[in-house]
Amino acid sequence: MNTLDITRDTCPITYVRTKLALEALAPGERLVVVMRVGEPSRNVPRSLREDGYPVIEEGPDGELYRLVVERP
Amino acid sequence: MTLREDQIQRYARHILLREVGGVGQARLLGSRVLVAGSAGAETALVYLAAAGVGTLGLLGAPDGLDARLRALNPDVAVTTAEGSWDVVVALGQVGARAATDAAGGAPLLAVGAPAGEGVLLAWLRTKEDGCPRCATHPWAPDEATAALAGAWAASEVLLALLGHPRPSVVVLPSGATRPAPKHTCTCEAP
Repeated sequence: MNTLDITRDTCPITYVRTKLALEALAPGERLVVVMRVGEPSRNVPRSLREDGYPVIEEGPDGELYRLVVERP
Repeated sequence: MTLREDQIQRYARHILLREVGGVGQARLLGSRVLVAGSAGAETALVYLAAAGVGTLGLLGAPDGLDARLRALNPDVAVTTAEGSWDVVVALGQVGARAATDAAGGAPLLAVGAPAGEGVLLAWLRTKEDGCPRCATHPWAPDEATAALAGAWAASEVLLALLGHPRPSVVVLPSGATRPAPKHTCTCEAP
């Protein structure tokens, strides 16, 4: 599974990079996104759902936050 | 087409839009749009350059505008009317003939005066739709109306390039719209 690290980015570039990475996938492929806890972990999952991307799982990963999303 | 890092930063707000995304932005960067005429041309071209339409053709635009467009967005190549185009915009009847010739088979957006009040934005997608000169009436807009028409035209062009084309429309001074009336072609469409 592809992994995208957006821990060094701030909003809205966090979601911009996530969206670009998803657009590069084939339908049904999944992407792991690692981000900081706080603004990114609040905004990125919400934006994904608003745009119709299924978030398969999400939660804290040590000091970071990790989610798995699928390209519809 | 993969966006460069500086392009991701420049077009971040566009990429966020559902109708655009990275795929749509790449499509805009690969697109060629010719704008012919003077009234409203500057506004239309500034919007199209800011949106990242990769190649803009100018026909009758004010002197010095090409340099301003490149300064606004270095991604944009500004040329004359040579070459083939994805969309051609004819603003008013000045340059309408040249725009029609340049369009070839490309969609042509005629912007001008309808029979009544308002501004007409007429998509001429086939030869049977006629040319800008027969689709519109003589147009001498004030500066504000021309700018509004140019901005509106740029929006319609972007939607068409992104695969969301809209029908022809008349924009009334109130801001309301109504469907563009069917016109009878009185010229010999090229």
